[in-house]
Amino acid sequence: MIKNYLKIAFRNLGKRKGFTFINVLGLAIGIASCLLIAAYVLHELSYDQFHEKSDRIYRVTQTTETSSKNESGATTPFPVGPTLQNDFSGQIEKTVRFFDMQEEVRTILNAQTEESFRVDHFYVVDSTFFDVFSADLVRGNPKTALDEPRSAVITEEQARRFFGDENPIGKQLIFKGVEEFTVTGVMKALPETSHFQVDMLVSFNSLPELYGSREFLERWFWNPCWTYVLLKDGVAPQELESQFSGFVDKNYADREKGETITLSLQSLTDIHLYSNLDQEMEANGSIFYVYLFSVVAVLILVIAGINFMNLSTARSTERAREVGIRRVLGAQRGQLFGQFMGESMLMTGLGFLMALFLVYLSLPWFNKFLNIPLGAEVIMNGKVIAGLLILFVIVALLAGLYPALYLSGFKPVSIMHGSKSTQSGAGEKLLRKGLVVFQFTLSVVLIIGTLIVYLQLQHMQDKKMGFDQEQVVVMPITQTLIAWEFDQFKEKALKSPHITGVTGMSKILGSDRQIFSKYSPANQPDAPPTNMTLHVRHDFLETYGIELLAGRSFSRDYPADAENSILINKSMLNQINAQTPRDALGARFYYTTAEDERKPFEVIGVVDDFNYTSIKKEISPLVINLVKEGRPTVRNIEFATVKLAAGSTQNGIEDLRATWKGVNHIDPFTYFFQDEKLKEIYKSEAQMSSVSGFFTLLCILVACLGLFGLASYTASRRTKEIGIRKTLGASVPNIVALLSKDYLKLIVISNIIAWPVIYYLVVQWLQEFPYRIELGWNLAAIFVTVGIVTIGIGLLTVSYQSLRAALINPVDSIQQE
Amino acid sequence: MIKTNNLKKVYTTDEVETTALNGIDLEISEGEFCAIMGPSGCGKSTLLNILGLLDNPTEGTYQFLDYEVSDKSERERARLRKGNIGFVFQSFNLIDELTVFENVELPLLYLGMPEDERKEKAEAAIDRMNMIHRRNHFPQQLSGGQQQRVAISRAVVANAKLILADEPTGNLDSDHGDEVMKLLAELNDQGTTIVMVTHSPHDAGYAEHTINLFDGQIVQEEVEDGFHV
Ligand SMILES: Nc1ncnc2c1ncn2[C@@H]1O[C@H](COP(=O)(O)OP(=O)(O)OP(=O)(O)O)[C@@H](O)[C@H]1O
Ligand SMILES: [Mg+2]
Repeated sequence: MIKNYLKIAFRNLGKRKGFTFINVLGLAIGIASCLLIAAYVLHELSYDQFHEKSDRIYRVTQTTETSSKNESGATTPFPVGPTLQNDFSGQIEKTVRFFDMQEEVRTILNAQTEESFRVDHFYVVDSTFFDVFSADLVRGNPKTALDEPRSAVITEEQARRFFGDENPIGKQLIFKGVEEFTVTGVMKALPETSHFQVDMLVSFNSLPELYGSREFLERWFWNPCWTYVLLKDGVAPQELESQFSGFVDKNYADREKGETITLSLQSLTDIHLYSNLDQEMEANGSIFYVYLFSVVAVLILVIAGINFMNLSTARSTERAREVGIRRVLGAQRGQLFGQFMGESMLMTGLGFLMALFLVYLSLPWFNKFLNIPLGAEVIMNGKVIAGLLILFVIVALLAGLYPALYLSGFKPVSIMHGSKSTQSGAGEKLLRKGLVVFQFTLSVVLIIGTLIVYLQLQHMQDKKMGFDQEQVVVMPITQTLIAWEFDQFKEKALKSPHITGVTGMSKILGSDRQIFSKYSPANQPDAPPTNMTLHVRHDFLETYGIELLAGRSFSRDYPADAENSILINKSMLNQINAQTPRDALGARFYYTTAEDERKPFEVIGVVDDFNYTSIKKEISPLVINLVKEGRPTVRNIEFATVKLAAGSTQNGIEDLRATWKGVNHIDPFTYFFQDEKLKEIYKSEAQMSSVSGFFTLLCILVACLGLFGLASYTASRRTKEIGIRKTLGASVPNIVALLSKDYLKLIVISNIIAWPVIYYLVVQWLQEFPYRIELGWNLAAIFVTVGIVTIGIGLLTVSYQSLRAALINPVDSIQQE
Repeated sequence: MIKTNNLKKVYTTDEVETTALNGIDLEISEGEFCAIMGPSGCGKSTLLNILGLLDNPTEGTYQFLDYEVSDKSERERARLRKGNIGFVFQSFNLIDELTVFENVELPLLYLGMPEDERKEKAEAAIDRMNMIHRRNHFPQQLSGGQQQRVAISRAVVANAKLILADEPTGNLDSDHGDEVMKLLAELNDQGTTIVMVTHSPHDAGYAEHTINLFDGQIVQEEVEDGFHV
């Protein structure tokens, strides 16, 4: 019997090849998108799960609050780790600290071959690293590898780079041309799903030697360490957290007055998706996108699924006659039921197979797009397969059940006589229309949403940075010869006609990093003791094209500038109660030195606000100070910036390289363009916007497939009517208009429903950004344009079917009955 | 008005060829009432469809109003049909979603006639078939005879010169059938050319020109009162 059903099912599908194809394709695209998103979501959720003790590992985070700032950082001072271990040995099994030497260039020299290499992910860690985290050592002993000062563990990939096929253990590596490390271990690279990546680890007790002092290791002011604790079995993190306030009171003795410090524990496996603190080790993902994409995936699936059912049921009403005849000939209800279910299962099965094929085809491309290596194994796990099977049963049942019950319940007589019973009911029609509206509303929301995300990102990158990004080249120079010989480098570089400006500064403008130092306005008791600071060399404003609102820039004509002058930004005016930039000139600031001395500084100029830190943050008050030659430069000026003449990028870079080589023969010439660096910093947003763009397209495609199917169904249902109208003189355009009108109305309604929805969502989303696009006529223009585009797409989709119906010989259509 | 020469129609389905018409030579003048008879499957409907420009012949020529139409596209045939030819079918073919009035008005709408003129003409046509009291009813609320009268109203509303009727009484009892035949005869008296397919010799009695088909060929043709043989 089953065989018989399948045979009939195959024949029926074959008879309606176009319809079958559309129906199955729509379902397949829906399921495939769902699988792709599921793969992405599972990937995101799996971060840091590979550590065997992941459920017991927590990161200590620190929030610093004063009247004027509130910073939540992922890092803590050096002593936090050991002190915690010491004070709470009952709850804490191990702690491990990570310290990033914050050097943009880490040049490692193979001591034997004198070849130099760049290393990106370089951390100084406690020897407990291998006790806490699950990282496999291929060579060396995990228990002792990081015990000795100047020990280094490198990944297999780096080992191959530095030493080729030789055994790296015991080999020497030279850091910055002076510091020597011995390789004591080779580790496997951490999986992609780790919130930090490692190329090279160095033992923590190398630090005193590297910095020539151990004093800073005991200070509670500077907080550069990522500190992780491994809790003992059965210890709840709240239990430990509740004792942190006492711990802070006891230990943070040298915190400033009015400063509140809070320590918290953050679960290791929450870091990637939930943590967005200052000083993250790497840019994290966001649970927001995980939710967003999950919702989109479910919606696409729902649309595709309902489309599928809709088309299947719509088609089946055409077969009322067949059912009637079968019943007259003696078919049982159950047999008819079986027949329809069989067809539905077959069709659903085809859809699922096609979906798997689509995933197989698009996965590499999707990976490239997202820059993550998703493999088939992400999907081919038990849970996903079980989910797919359940989904299969649900879709097959829903798609088959309605027609099966509806049609098999017909009384034969009512089908054979009178055409009324084969007509779709009013409720059914309404449902179908409602669905079209739902799909298109969703598509419109997605299109406009994607557009606005895109515009906002553009806006952030272009407009509001407040400094030039084009033709601006930045070179990391920390502890390179360039830092020592900065003036010589500058002088030589400026000889090139392609280089128009050279300056130096302490951080990349627009990056997350914040530097605070103890500049505070004089005679303002409420003012915070520290302010955000940017250390610069001469010609900073000029090179970056930052506008001076009042006063003057740092100048060589005033040799004492470095000792007694500062610039402030517009946002600082408030703090010193100045009404206009001019009022602020001459205002006095004190700088508190390490020896607690107060040195006076005078405001000589006020600059327009620019984005010192991330564009996602509001601009804060800022002090800009000039760094003079010698040791301070080497410490504070970490980047050199060069402005190239318009149109001579190539030549400019070549001249720069030559200048660099001439001054510094040790470190490789490394540079990046300011605008590209910022793009990289905001990569995850850009990536998400392209992913949502992609799924927007899919959503529209699925919706259009549904519309196409419905239009072809309507056209076929109305073939007879079309025939009659044509014998009465209707022209082809008459018929096309007749058939398309209804759908166009639905798309217009969808657009109108989508507007308030998208408006609400966009306003919410934009709230997160201090600098947002203004929503006014441009939003209206987007609404109208998207409206026209969707109507256009809908019209194309529907009119194809309508036109086909309209061009049929009337004799063929009338005879259908 | 109608002149065909060696008209052939071959249907090809699943590699089976059916010759529905096999060399029809036919001439029907303006004002004639012509009946086409013959056993089931002999090609009557096929012939009527071709005469009504709903379909093209496979072979042969067909002049409608002295204009060669056998090789014209559906678009052009549609233009010729409009306002010239009215149809009456055995199964009425009214549009279920439209009222009696709206059904009858439809051909005028497609002719682009202004609304008041349409209303006037459609009502006159419905009135002529004694259906004016039912003008706002839907087809399903009417009996078969009534539906056929509406269909005839619709066929004549645009003053068609030619009315093609395929077994117009086929679904009706003899009383209602007679009523419909009388209406057609009346139209013919007023100058409309009528070509009708029928199985009933009684209905064929209304016609002055009778054609008998068998297996797609004309086997007998009778013309009364001075019309040609
Ligand atoms: N669309 C078609 N495809 C294939 N064959 C067809 C088609 N329409 C008609 N035929 C065949 O052409 C022949 C003539 O059909 P037609 O409908 O003209 O007969 P008829 O004389 O009107 O019969 P009836 O009195 O039963 O209505 C028949 O053999 C029929 O099977
Ligand atoms: Mg027939």
